[in-house]
Amino acid sequence: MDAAEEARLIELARKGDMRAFGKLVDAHQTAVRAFLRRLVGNYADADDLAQDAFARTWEVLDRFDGSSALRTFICGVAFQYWRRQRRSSSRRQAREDAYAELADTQSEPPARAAARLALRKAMDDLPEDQRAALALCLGQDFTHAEAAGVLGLPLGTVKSHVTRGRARLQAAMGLTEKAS
Amino acid sequence: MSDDFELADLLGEAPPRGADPGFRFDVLSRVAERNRRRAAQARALKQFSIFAAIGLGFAVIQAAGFDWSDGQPVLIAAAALTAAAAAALLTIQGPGLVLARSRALLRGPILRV
Repeated sequence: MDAAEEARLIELARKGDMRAFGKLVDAHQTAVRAFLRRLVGNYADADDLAQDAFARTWEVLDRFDGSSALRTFICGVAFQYWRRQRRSSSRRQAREDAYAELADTQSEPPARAAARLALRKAMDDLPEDQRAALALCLGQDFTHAEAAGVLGLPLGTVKSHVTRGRARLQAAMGLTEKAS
Repeated sequence: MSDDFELADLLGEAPPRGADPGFRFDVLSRVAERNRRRAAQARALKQFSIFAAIGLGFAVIQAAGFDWSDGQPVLIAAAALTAAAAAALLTIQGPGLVLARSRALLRGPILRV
């Protein structure tokens, strides 16, 4: 979707046009869902969060000033939702998530499932911002600058988060020395 | 394995490129649900405010020394006029319209959100 078409759809959505908003959802759902899947690990919870983020975006679309891309704005909303949910989630929820992740790995070869679980454990141990920066940048869906916009962090901090986070994930996979 | 794409893939496979109509439907359902909930909250707040104001009005009237017996003739006249108006409308336009008009009168100035 080109920028002019997106701006037109945003204008229509601001006036209450659900069909236009549906087109915006279609255009950006892949990036937002991929970001949250890497962040959360559990696909069902990630999609649930993504839907909440889009629904919230509908409510706060007036605050979008066009200084960044719309998907950056939506991912920022999604990040806030994830952070809030993470803070309020109980230990029971964490255990349920672990079981759900295990279920996700059951159709895979054992070696890959083990790698996935080890990586998820390492990802869960990372600080919130570092984890989110990695989730945004690892698949190269977002540039470092865009990730900085989503997370509200300086560009240098995001670059550092990605480098250090990547090193820690690789260390968890036994590929390199553990980074600080 | 050290490749960023491989790491990203292991952390969570991206959904297929392109629009998933089911996801869009779920999002729009949530939007509609949240809109409904917000409207219901606003309506509840407005009704609560109106009834609280009415209750407060009675309390203020009573505190000002106004007694029910003083206001009784006015209230009886108002009730008689309302009944007469309803009867006239019922005769002229039929019961359905009277009910609709009453509902509109109630909803319009008093309970509109």
